[in-house]
Amino acid sequence: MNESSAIHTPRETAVPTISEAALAMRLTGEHRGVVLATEAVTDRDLVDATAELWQAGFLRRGRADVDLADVHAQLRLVHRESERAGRYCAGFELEADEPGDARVFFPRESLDFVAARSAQRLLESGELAAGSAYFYELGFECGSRPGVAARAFAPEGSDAIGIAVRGPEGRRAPRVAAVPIRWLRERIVESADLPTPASGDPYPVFITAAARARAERVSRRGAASHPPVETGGLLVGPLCVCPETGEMFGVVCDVLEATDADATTYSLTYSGPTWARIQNIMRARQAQAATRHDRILGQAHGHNFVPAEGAPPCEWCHLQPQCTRTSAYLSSDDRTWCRAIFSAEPWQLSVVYGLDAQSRPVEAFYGQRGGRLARRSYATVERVDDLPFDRGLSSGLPDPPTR
Amino acid sequence: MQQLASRETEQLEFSASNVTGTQEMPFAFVPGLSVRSVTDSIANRMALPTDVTWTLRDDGSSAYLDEDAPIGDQLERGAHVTITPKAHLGGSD
Repeated sequence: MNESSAIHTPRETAVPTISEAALAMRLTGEHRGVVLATEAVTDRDLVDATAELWQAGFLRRGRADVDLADVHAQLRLVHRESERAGRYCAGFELEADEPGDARVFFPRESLDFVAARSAQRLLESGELAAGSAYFYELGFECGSRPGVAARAFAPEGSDAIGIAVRGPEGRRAPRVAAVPIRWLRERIVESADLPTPASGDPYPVFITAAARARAERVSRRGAASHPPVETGGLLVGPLCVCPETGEMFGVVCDVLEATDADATTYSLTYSGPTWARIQNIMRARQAQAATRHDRILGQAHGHNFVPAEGAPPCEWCHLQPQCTRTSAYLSSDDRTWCRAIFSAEPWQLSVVYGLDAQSRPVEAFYGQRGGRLARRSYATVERVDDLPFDRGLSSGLPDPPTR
Repeated sequence: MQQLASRETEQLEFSASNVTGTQEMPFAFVPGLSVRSVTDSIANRMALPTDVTWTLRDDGSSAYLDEDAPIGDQLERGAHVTITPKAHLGGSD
């Protein structure tokens, strides 16, 4: 957020001494109170949050034609009380200017990459020692009077500030297929609690049994190597809007394996040829009527190693219904990769296949929520060869042939 | 085969997209600019994350462009590039 951001105090709370405000993250050292740095939260840092508001407030409410660039919102900090910490900033809320009831809360952890960026700079300059802990807090950095350079972090009265946020220029509405969601619900083969917009849960996601099996197969393929390596692919299918309810949902129909990738036991790097092949396939699919709505919806990959470097299960493991020590999780590298690849794509999905401490296969499915990738549910459906595209559209697009 | 743009005068026009294909934009740069500076400019225009290093890949050859060399030496007018993060998946932490 730059300093020229408009300041609003819409709740009739006068903040006469604050002339300008910018969202910032303040880092303190292991000894709390020693300020290490104050890092500005930029417009680009807020793109994913704004896109999530876009999805919740527009795309899932029958307004899938609204461009992200046209989303205007107010950002306000959210404070909470805690016995130990007292009053603290728990995160921020984005509220769309229109419709006014569209708002989403983002915990401060959703901006942990801003703190990590600042910490990295401190490490490089030697101001922070490797392995040292640091803490971060979110607040408005404010000028006290116009023209005065001195700035204060979260000064009294800044809680009431709202600053204007908008979607990035040029970001258009996604291409969606019109498909009745009940058509998918009738084909669920594995029960799942499908979220609804009213509950504030993530948007519904369906995955065909064949795509699910393929995602696991390509992700675990690297387990057969010596030593095992990470392998995976991209989840592909249409993003849909129900013409009856206005709800948006994703349907994963296929998985494109990441071939020619650079793989090690603990990493998977898509190479130039990997991306070239995927892009060629996607262009070919989008040129065909039956698959013209296909897009890259997410990624799957395997952590083909046992957790904790193969340490034996804990002594209580056999008493637990599920072993909680697992390699099926999104690492910080995974999260960074997904944030880069799926920037401003709040429908993004991730699935990680791994092993528990007893070397049994486990999986973890993720979607964006509160600005971060969080565990979520999905529904497995039968084949969708005859997915009824574009029924109910006023434009009367013809049904494509079956795939 | 089209000629490489003249470094002194002409702007090198090309298009760039992100890896998922949800953004595609036209660009024009002075050919003498380094690929690194052009990449930063494209990432900024596309509002891509700032804590990731980005690189450009020529869709025609699938090769990543040399970041230190001028863009005009590596790309032809009308080319299409994909801006790609220098990042990897991995369960190392």
